[in-house]
Amino acid sequence: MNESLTQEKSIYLQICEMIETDILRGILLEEERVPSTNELAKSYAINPATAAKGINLLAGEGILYKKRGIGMFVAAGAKERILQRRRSAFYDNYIRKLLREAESIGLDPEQVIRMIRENEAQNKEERDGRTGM
Amino acid sequence: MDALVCKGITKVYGGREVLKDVDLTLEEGKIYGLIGRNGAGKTTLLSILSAQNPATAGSVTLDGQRVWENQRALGDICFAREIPVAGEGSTSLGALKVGEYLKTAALYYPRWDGEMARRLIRDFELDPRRKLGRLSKGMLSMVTIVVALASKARFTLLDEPVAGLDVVMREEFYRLLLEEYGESGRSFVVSTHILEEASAVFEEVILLKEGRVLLKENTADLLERACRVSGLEEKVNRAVEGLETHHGESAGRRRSVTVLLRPGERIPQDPELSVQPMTLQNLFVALCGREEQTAPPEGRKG
Amino acid sequence: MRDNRVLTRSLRFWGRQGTKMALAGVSAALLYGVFFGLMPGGYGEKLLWDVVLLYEVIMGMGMLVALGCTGISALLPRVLSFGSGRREALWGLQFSYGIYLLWMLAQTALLAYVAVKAAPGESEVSLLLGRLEPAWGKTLLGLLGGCLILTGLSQIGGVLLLQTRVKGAALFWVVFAWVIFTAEVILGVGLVGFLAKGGAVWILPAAGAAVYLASLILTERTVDRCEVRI
Repeated sequence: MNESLTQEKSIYLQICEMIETDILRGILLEEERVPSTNELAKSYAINPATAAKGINLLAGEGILYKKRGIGMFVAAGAKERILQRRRSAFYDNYIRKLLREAESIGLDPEQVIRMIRENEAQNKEERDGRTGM
Repeated sequence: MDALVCKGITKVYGGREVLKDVDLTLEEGKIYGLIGRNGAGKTTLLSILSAQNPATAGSVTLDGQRVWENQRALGDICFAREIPVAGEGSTSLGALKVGEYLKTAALYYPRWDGEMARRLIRDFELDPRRKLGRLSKGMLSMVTIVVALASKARFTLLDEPVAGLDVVMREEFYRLLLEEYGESGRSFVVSTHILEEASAVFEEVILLKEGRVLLKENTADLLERACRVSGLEEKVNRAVEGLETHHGESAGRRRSVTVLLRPGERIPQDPELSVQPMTLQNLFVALCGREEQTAPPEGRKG
Repeated sequence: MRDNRVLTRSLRFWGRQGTKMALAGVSAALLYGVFFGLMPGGYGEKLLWDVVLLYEVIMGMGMLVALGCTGISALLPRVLSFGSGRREALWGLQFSYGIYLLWMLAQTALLAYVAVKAAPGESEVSLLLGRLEPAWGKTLLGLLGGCLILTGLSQIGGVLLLQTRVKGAALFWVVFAWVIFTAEVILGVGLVGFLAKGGAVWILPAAGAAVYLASLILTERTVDRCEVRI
């Protein structure tokens, strides 16, 4: 759980992402309690208000839910929802950036697609090579 | 009205205005970071807030009552500062034992937590029989931190608590601070020059510049609206036109400028402009450093 | 905060510090006594303990009152930095002086008594007291006046220390200690004898009251508006 925070990005977003990633990786299971804001504050040395902001954001998205007097829990189906959202964000976060960078150095989309195919072929070869040994 | 408020605080030392008409409201249950360059008036402000220094003009109130000579208010405020024992300005404190010093603190702070003080002394590996004058700078900082945390004062002002501490102890201090804050909801004001680790701890940051409050804002909100725009000079200038800019630097055809966006404002999208987020430290240098330099500035620590 | 809390902490802190200073004073007086007792000169043929007692009686009332009182006022910044009220600290300091003076007077009286009992008519102290006996009341008045002068002067020294840190106070101390030392050593017994004749019965107490009052006003003004620097 103790990844380190960078200063380049809002801390509450980093807290969100870390909890999401923990859910995806099975570090936090559905219907399991997540660390409280004070626990997060202490382990990452951040202000509890910031930690609360991150937790509340996830609660607003239905990934966490509150059990009165006990704390925040991972909602059922949270993992699936995070996957869905990350997939839909993939285009914005990666593809667009990729193409913009390609354009600025004079690569057209066709060339990029070719590179992706080549990479896939190479990976396949490596995988086959390894299993063949 | 649970707040420590100062209005129109001015302080003059020998004709020099150290604080100029400072208005500030510190709410219950927040951790504030007080930052500013040397000589910006941080220590003076904290000492006036705690009634240890009379203001030339202006008033300080706690829950609407004057703090000066008000025993109730004084018991609710703790000003923990560096203990000077070595060199210029050293006082009789040098001959005092750590235990004695804390004993006096225990007598004077109405909510003193002796159990916590003992625990911290043990954790910090401080020897209560050691004389203050024989402690290292880091150990003196620890004594100050023990007083601040164990005082249990509603408003605790810490002047440079981490100045003498190494990285490990600095992190330890912020953890202790956050733990105590989480449990008690006390308010803390921490002045520091070391911003990297601190910016995540401060809910709000108060920036003093030349005796004035330049800004007081939620740290995350502040960083969210700050960015560094750089690229070809004309493009940058066009992009930031009408925006609040600081610390512009030109090198050849390249120009970089720090922008503080007001609500609703944004930097126009342009693949040839790079817009980078800022850390509190970068922003601090941008706001407090010298304006308009042609060469990149030296890595300066406030 | 409740007033009795303030009272309790003042009694505990300032009372304890006064007592501590007095104990340090008694031991220092003994050292002085031994030092002068061993010094070659007029006391060579006399018993060491006798000379020690004599000096303890005299020095205890002079030098040590002054140094002790200055030491106590150096505590002001510490309590003020911990949130003591300024008035509270001012009166606490006066209380501490009182405790300290009472201790010093008590130890002087006790030692004088012991000396007279141990060797009536022979010891230095007995001889001194013998000379004083006819004017016992006047001597006490003079002694009290002297104590007040010293307390006042050392309070001024303490305030200087508070205000100017070391620089101003150091000069004050040097001059002050030199004056007291000269008065003690050169005039010593003779001064007390002069007092005993009744020549200055009212001058000393009156001067003492004036000096002390002046020092009190000065301290009040300083403590009321000083910046606390620990």
